[in-house]
Amino acid sequence: MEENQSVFELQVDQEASKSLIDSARWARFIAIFCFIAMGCFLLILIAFQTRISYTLSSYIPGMSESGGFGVIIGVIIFVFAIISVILVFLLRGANLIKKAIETRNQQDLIEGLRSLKTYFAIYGVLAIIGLVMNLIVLIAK
Amino acid sequence: MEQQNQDSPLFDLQVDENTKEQLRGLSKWTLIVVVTSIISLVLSLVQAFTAKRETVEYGSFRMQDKNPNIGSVIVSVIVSAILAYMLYQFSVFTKKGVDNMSQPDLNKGLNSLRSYFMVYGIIIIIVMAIILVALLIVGSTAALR
Repeated sequence: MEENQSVFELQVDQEASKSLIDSARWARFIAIFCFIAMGCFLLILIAFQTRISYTLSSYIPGMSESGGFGVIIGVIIFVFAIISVILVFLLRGANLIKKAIETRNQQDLIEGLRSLKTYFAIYGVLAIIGLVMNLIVLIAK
Repeated sequence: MEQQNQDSPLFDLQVDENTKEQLRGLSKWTLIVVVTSIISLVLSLVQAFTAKRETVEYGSFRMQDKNPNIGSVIVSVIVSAILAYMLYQFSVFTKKGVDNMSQPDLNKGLNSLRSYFMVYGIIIIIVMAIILVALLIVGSTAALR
């Protein structure tokens, strides 16, 4: 009876395992690459701090050099913090799925898929917010 | 021998109720992402083709708002559409596979997820290469001055 049941149950077979492992590898690459890119961007921003501050204060009257740069850094750090949260879920999901396939651990697979689901859920919510804001701007024009 | 045992279906991970629940949730959220992406694509196309040249003023600061580059908009729309299509395939086939207990559909769905992440990764590599080349050109031009 049990044998019959397992025949009709879905499994993470060889083909599915390969797809999941490859997905996890690419997802890991994307997450790590994005972290590095964000770090480099921040470093470049800090390296060109004086130039950016000067340009900002000359274009926007009434804005002090340090104030303008502070606002830019604040906004960028806020955006990067949100992106980092999403990327952490992607990285966690990828690591757990890879581990689950390698060690054949059911719980890791569930946790990995849960993290991936959270990644897409946050992505989806942010995409909806962005879309609504875009629509508002379009209507206001 | 041990390798053979490990490869046999007996030792495969099972798609149990918990896993199915996660896969269904994943399928639902990816579909939401796909729908949002498609609406955004249509909006960006509408914006690109209907944009007018405007002057932005802030105090004494004046700036000509340029028309968006139609070429770059079309390229980004094509890339996003390909990604959205793969995610859609994943969403539909995974849900179908889990609901109908169909192994081929589930495999097809997971394969689409692999293609999605692979294309995403390759696009990131291409974009970074373009940025690097642009930075090198700007840097070398500045050094020659």
